[in-house]
Amino acid sequence: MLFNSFQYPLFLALVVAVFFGLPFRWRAVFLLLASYFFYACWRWEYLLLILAQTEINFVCGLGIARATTKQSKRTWLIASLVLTLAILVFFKYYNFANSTLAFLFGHVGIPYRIPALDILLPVGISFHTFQTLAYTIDLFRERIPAERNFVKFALYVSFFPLLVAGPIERAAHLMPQFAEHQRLDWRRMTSGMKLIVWGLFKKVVIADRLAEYVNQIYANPVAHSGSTLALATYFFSFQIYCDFSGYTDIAVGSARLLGCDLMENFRLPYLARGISDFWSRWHISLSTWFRDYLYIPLGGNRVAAARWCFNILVTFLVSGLWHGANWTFVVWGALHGTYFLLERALSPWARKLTDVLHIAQGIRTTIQVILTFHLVTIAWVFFRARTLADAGAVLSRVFSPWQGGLYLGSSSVGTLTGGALVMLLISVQLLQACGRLPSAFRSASVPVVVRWFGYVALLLAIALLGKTASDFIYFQF
Amino acid sequence: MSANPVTRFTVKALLLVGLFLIADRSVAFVLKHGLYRYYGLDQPSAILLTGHSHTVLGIDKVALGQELGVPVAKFAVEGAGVVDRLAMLRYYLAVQSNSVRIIVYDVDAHTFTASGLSSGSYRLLMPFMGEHSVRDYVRKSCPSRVDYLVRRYVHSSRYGDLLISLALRGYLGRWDNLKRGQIDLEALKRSINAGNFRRIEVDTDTVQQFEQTLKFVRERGIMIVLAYIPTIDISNEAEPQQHAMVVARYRRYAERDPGVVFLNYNESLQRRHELFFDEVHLNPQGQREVTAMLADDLKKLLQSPNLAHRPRP
Repeated sequence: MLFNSFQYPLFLALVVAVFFGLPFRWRAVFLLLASYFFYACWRWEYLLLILAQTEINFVCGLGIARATTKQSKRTWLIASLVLTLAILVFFKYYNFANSTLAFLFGHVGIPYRIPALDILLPVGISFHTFQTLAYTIDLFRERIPAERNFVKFALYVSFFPLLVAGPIERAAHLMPQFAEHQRLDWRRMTSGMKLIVWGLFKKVVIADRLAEYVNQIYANPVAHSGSTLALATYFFSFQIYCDFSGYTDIAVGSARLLGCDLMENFRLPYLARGISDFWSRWHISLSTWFRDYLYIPLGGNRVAAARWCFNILVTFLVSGLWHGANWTFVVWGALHGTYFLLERALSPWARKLTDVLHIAQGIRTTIQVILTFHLVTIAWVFFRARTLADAGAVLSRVFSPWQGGLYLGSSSVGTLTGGALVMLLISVQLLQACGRLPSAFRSASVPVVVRWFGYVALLLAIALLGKTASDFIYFQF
Repeated sequence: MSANPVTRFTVKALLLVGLFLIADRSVAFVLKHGLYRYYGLDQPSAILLTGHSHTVLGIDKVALGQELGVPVAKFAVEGAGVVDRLAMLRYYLAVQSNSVRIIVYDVDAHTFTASGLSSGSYRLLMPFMGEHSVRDYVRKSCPSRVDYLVRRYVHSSRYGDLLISLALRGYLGRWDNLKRGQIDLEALKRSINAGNFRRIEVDTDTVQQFEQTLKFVRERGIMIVLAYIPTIDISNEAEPQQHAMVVARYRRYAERDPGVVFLNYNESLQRRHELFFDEVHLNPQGQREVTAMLADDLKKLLQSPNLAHRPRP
């Protein structure tokens, strides 16, 4: 069941109504069943995988809690990591590793006969795997107590608003909320609903509209001019942002209706003033996960410069691989890692240069934002292209003198509307960044007439300009 | 004294729903009016052109109307198959029941081919769900009951980009063919040699629907002209026997009933490659040629004794 399907609002309304109608002791069980039903609407067989991951980490968690020595705690942790990651590796990376090996063996003339497997990637596997691992590692680090109630732990793993594409929550933040006796709070209800509507607008009105053009152009990039590929790439930057942040808003809004607060996942990322700033604003739950469970264990920045560069690159490469089993994602991660290192190396020089040239702070910030956005957009080419060859074709055409006209797609009205919506989004975000407009629906400081006009306009735009249900990009990860 | 939170929430929710419904109905009304103007549903017409993109791009309704001196409506929709067209005709004749004397219905070698059609063409008829035959048709075509109910009660959800742009064109009075340019013949030949072309099939259900359409129109005393808007010879010759078989079928329909006329513009124009935007669509030059030929033929038919007497609009 997709968040942007017609069925989801009915499902959500029913779950919220029953949840608050039930006695407190039955609520967690009910939410767990609802979450399993939500997932089973996609493929019920894969529920067994979630159950297996839940069981493994629940048992290992209890093992860590009961272990009396550091060594036995470590054994339980390793067991949890190996078993949990084995599931992820098998389903997500088996065919990638197999085809890479086949290519390498073929290159040196050695026969290679291990067949590829016809495996369907379970929706959201990377998200619930990381969420589960966060629990076990935090338990090992003695930052949280072990959860002894299986239902509550299973709910932490499978809570439907964040089951398929995050945010990747931490046990310390989410689990105590399941233990609280939530009461029906109408203010939270309305704020959750507003967030859902805003997320739906970003997804079905902006992202899915841009997707029509982007998909058409990226399906055969060599057939298009540099200007067309540049427009499609800019569109993809906004498509992926609206798609994923739209999903997150619906997830956070849905959880809020059920009395839970999920962590913030996006903070105006395209207004970042540098790559490190970008990663503190984009997919925050993932970047902090990598920071806490990979970068810092590798030594973080308290190491020699060479080792620090290595840590940064490894973190970004793994982040790339996390997104998808394809070399395009690895290059995307490597590119961001390189940007990060270059930024650190060059920023003192850039600061001195702007001081010498007496460039005003406002202009400096504008240049930083535009430069960061374009660097991120170039990296998105690898994220979106099907192959490295396609990505190379896109970049070579975009950065060569443009030949041929700008193609506006099979529906030029649709494409122009998409462009206008992107402009609207940029304007809204600039106003938010300047503090002239509150973050989406988080303040009542806007006059009531304007707010209500905004609500009606959003609903109308969803009905009139929204595209019918299509997958969220991050579901594939 | 402040109202309790439940009451306040309920009042606000109802108010929001009410405001939304007012906005929804207003926008849908404006768009529907634009569509009525675009399709010519807003006034009585003697000639109704119906079909899919071949008619949309291939016949200039303004020039035709000027040439014939009678009002012409063009209720044609991209991707409309035989089933869609029957629903469209039912709707048109429900709205403008007495004026039409001739219906020009575009046909080609793929009219009876069920595969390769857009499964979403019914969406283009959703703005007309107010009429029960269209409503039934949309209900049967919608992928789910919930989808249908949303379209039924949220009127603005019946419109997509294409319909919005057609409504705007209706207000602006713009019916011109914007597909300027000519087909790339070499690319088409390469594609056909590689086997990439739509196979001609004769689907029994589609034939039944087509015959039902003929019956539906003829029962109302309206003449129906089956007009083969040209498709390029290179494509037609991909399956010459199948092509000839379908064309022969149209001839037989015309022979059986004097109120059914088959006008095959394909025969004389299919080799004029400069008239084509792509293998199945005409460019503005092609549109001018076909419109002129159709105008000549319709002039004769309007004087024909086979045309049942219907009041002139």
